[in-house]
Amino acid sequence: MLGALAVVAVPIAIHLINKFRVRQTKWAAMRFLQEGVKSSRRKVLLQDLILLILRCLAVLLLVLAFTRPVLREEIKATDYVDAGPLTAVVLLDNSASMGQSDGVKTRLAMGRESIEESIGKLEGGSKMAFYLVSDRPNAMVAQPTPDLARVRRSLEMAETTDRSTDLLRAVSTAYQVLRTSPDDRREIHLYTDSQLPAWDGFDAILRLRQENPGIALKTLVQGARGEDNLAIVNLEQEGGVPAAGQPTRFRVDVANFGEQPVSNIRVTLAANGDPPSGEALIERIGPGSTQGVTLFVRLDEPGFHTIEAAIPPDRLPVDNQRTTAVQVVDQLKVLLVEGKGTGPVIDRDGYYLANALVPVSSDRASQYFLDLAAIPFGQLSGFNLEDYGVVFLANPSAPTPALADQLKGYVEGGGGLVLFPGENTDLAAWRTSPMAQWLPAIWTQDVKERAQLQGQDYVHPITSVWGTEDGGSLGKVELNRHYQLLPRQVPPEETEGEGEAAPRFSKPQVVLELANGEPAVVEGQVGAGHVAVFNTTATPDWTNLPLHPGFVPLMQRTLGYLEGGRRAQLVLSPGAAFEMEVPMDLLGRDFTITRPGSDERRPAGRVDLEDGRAVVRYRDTAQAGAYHIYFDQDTRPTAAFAVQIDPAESDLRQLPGADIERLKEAAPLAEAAERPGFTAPQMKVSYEFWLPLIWAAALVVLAEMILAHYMSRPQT
Amino acid sequence: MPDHELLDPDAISRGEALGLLARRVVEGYRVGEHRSPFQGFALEFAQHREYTAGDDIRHLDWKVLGRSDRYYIKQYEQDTNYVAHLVVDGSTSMTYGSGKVTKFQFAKALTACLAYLILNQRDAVALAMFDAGTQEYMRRTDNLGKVNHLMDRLAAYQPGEVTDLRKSLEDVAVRARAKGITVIMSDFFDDEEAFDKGMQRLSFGGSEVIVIQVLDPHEITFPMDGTWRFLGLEGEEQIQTSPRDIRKSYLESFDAFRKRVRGICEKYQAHYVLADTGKSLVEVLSGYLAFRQAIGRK
Repeated sequence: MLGALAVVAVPIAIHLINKFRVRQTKWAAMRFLQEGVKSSRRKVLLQDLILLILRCLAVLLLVLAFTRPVLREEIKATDYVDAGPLTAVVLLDNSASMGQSDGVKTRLAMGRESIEESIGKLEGGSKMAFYLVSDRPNAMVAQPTPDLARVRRSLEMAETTDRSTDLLRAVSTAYQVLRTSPDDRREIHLYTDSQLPAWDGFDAILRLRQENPGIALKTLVQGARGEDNLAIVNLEQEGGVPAAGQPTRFRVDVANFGEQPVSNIRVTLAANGDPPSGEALIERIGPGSTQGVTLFVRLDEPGFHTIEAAIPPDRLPVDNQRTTAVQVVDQLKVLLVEGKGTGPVIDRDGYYLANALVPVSSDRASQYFLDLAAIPFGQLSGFNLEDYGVVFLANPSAPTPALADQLKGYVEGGGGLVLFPGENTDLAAWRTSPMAQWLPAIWTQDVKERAQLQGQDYVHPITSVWGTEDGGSLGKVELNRHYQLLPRQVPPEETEGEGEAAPRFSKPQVVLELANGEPAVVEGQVGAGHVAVFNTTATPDWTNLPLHPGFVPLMQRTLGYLEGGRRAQLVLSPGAAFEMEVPMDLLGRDFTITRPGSDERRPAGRVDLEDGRAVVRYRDTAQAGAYHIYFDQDTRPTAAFAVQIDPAESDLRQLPGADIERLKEAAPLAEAAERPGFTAPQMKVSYEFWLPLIWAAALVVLAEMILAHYMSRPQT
Repeated sequence: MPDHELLDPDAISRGEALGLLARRVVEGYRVGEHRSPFQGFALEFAQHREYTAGDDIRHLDWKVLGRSDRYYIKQYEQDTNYVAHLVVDGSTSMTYGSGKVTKFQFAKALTACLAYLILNQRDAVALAMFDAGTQEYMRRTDNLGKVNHLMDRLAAYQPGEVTDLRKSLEDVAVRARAKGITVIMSDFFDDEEAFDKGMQRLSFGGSEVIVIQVLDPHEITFPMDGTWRFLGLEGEEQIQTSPRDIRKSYLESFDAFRKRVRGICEKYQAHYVLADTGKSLVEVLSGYLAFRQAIGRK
């Protein structure tokens, strides 16, 4: 460019030298010279200015032309086949929804074929990395490699999983891989069925795209929009504690994700792989709607059982059945602690509770799974609570610090605690007790006004049975007096576990509200156990709740919810590790497992020691269904658990095409260029300006010559 | 020797050479002419004499011829002896010359020629050199033998100060008491009002005035190109300009000036002659003398 400038400057310099070379002469007719100068000065100045501008413009245009300015534009990721070798990270969604078939091929198979085809079109020198992505990216070929045969082999091994989808995580990984690549053309090719829920991180992905304009993101949607799918989206045990020989209640929710209503859906329930023991018929489910049915299974043997619900098959098989697991107890010990535990039985604080918890006649009570014991509140301090699954405190007076410590240790160890206030309850003492530091709610003030329980919108699992068409309501329950409940504000750090450790507390949940929205029952996790706090008595002194038909199921469900908290987590999402404490005599012993769809026992691991406990741990849970753990040649499993797919995987609605375009065409963020790791957009030359500039310069020079000639001609 | 080579600056600076130059020019002119162009103008009738061959028939007295059938020529009082005042501008503005001679040198040569011509026909010549005033004055003489002295005075004169036409012409009018011809040679780069007043004074004195404006061809056409710095000869501030840029307005202004000078001449019935120093001395002199003779025949 400097050379060009020098060349261009030569004629200008000559012109300027001539311009500024001054010759001198004596002159007699100065008078006329002065007049001429005076009259022509303005005109001369103007002419000089015009010529100067034209000459400068000519030089400027020439210099610009020599710099060869060009218009560049970002290379769009329009196709594989484009100029130059490509470095791509291919992401193939293998979440559960990719098992949806069009009658011939699954979406995964379509994606596989598309990738295969596009590999064949790649130019020489192209490189490719390959990831299977669901809720986490699984590197098949972690870094871009020119060995495309290896990519093909990995592609052949690709199968669907029962995992959910997290496209943000997948795309972030791909950007990380490509950011460090020195190659020019870098692209991410995402083969997915583009399920709407999978794009929860759409905004973050868009931002990633904008922050990395040099890496194109191309989304290749597999499968058609608006495909029908009927799915079991929920299977859970409801009601109280599952007990041997008792009918155990299960709720099955079936959702219609299609655009047409579906009629006469047969729902079956089977235990432990046996033939279905119960079935129900859902008459009609509208498009986008969910219908639930309740089915009962009688499980005679105590221990672990797996229950499978099923609906007729459709094109996405994975969500046509759903499995859960329950631990059936033979006997559960419950302790009733009464503030007023003397006098006539009916006047005792635990009378109505005892009847609700053991709702059978006295002659059958001994066969009932629940073993109930009652003590006065005064005897609680120092009482051995270890054998009791749940402790009910009715009308407790004031807790001593020692009792507070004892109860805390019990709950943190996995026990359930239910608190009912009463006349004896010393509000001030409870507020100032150390228990106020960990209970999910505390009583704040005595309210002697009439109130009612909520009549609808029951959302907590304990109360969710009410509010449905056939579930009745608790809205008729009246309170004459209650202690106002204030849920504890749990700091966020206490609700998050450190590493793999479980969190110490959960955020308190409102189980029931008064009609005015004030909490009536609040529960929360404390360590491994749960606590529920009621705002009124367990006797008819302050409320008619104990006399209401809903009292028995409310207590049973509360008991079941709290008691379940101490048992192992038996329902997992795909990929989550199963972990359960077992007797110490099993420590060091190997165990086997049967996986979904197979009765074959496979070696699965050894019982480890952890924190002084013997623990069974199993991690390979990517497949949905029932898992049974056995020791030696036991016929009964020592443990069982179920893996359920994310209900969102059944929702086949797709991200709108306009949003896919937004991803493709996203403009880069201006501030992103300042950040480390920024990848500049790949640009191509769309127009070169040098030739028009040369022409423009020539025109200007021509104009200058004409004007200069005109201005310098003899003006006589 | 060609005409233009007669004008050698060295020659003009020496009286002898100047005289020789004048003689050659005049003699060359008279080869084809038999009559002085300065004879018999606006002069009073003196007597008749008999016609002889070679007399100009314009002066025949036709009335006498008609009455007596004899040929008589009318003679005038000044016909044989008049004074020509040669007035030369010797100011510094006359020292400009784009070629090898300056305007002043050209004017000196022209003056020498006229003086020689007039003395040679036995008429009287007086010489005045002026700038801000009359700097050199040589009284009238009709002695051809003094022509060398005149040439020496003319050649030795060095230009001095700025021009003051009014004062200088008034001086000449006072000194030229007798009626005659006054020839003024100057560039007239003074203001025209001063020139007008001077001419007025000369006209009142009864002189016939001939105005010879001596100009350099560069002053007339202003042909320079590039950038020039002009240094004033009469103390004006210097000007640096591109002549190309101001040529048009300069020429308009200069032509207007010449028209005004000419207009003043016409006002006082004076002959106006442009002496372009780029032309040869002979061409300028003979051109005017031919014109004058043509006027005289009418």
